Amino acid sequence: MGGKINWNKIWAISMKDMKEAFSSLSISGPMIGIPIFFAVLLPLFTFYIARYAGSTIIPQIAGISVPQSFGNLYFIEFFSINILGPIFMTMPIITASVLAADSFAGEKERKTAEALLATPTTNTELLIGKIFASLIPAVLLTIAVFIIYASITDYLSLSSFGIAIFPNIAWYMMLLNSPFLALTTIGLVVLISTKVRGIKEAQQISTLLILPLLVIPFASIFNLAKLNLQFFIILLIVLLITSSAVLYLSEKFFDRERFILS
Amino acid sequence: MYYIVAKNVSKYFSNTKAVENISFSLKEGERLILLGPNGAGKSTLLRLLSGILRPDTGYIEILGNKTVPYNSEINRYVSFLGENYALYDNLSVIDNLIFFGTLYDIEKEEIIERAKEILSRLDAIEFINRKVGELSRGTKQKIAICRALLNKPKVLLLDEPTAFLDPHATDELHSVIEEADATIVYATQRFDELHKMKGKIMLLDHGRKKAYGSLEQILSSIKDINVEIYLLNEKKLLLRRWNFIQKRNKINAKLKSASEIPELIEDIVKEGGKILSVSYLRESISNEWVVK
Repeated sequence: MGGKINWNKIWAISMKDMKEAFSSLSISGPMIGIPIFFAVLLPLFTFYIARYAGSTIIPQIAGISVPQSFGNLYFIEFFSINILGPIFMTMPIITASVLAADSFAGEKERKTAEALLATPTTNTELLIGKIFASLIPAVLLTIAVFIIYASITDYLSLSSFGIAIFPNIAWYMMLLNSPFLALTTIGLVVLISTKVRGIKEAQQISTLLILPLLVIPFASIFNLAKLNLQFFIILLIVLLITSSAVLYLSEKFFDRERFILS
Repeated sequence: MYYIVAKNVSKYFSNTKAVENISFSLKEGERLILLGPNGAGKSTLLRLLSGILRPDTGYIEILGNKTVPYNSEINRYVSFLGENYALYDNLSVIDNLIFFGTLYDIEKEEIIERAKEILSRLDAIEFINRKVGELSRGTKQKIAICRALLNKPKVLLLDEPTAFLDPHATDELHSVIEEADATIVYATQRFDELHKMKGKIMLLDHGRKKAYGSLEQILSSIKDINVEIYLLNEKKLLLRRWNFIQKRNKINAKLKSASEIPELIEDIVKEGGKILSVSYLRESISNEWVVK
């Protein structure tokens, strides 16, 4: 993304998009509802299972022999990382796809694109502004969800088992992967926004990125993948390359005329 | 120096010729009125001039610079008001104006000062802190006009800016535009606006230039025309000399030439009709005509 960059314009575009998105119930509703589900209900659910069924479920689903005394704690740890971890990683994808679709395809749907594109903003300023508008809330919401989720889980595990589960390296790595998951999603939305007419189409296509993540819990249950440090480093490298490639392509192929006419 | 030069400009959408071989040039302060019914190519030509569409053939120069590839620096001095009001409904009027003003590199204080000045002229200052989505279509249009004038443009591209405005607001808009000191391309399908704007008129139909010249020349060049007239009142008219149909305050009239429009208007006014607008109508409604 070369050329002169005016950061005032970029910030104005980001702020405008964020203000607009969060003043709309159809955007702010899922933005708040989904994190509450992730952060509050899931740890309670996990704890309930761990407390009453963990030591019997783990050996069955993972084929691991678990010492009886550590059964419940091991379950909550296994479940939090291997099952809920990948689900947690869909958060930046869901939020980024909702916000980016609203930011790009929304301009077309609300018929504001022409006025925006006729202003003296470069493609680079426009794209960076809109990428920030989706990236910043997506990452902040992911961090907020992580903190709430970790606090609730730690409170429950400390009060029951006397040991805090979070923070741990796997969750730090998941957090580190989050911005790149969001960036890949946003880049994909930019790429497809010149092809689709409205917000829903853009969202539907971009949320397909969730599917590979949802395979991970099953892979881990059947012992096909281990969500350890090595796994997350490989994932981070893959996401770095993918997000860079998608963003590069989205800037290279962004075309004002095609954006307006599609 | 020419502020706008369009040379053999054509634009096609699939197999449709939206604009075909249009050429014209305007110097500083000159005005061009694009007249034509819906689908004549007016909006496409304005979008081409704004740089957001690329001509398939020919070229456009704005302030001496070609519009392709897109040059954001030129657009610092250009304003484009499209057929949609293009404001963000969830933001307040002033937030919309500050946003667009910032994209034109104008300081916030200057944006607010200028916005207040223009909105006062357009009788819309009371809405400055209201959300755009809460406003009437006419008020939204006034805000959009304010947005288009914020950067004191050298080139002003207006696509039917008086649509949805009442007669008073239309007059006020014309006087604001006159004072804008810009080179203007103004698209309209309303005949009643032609005498309010100084400048040459280009008659467009199916993307082609049908005529170019003064108001008199243009009116006499348009034969067998359908016009749509809206009245401010619902006065039932007789208009014995004319082929027309009237539904409440809307009159569709079939004329031999556009030069008959002033006579028709005169007759309507004589019978107590108050004219709101007189527009170019493409659609054939011949099966509805009362033959006299």
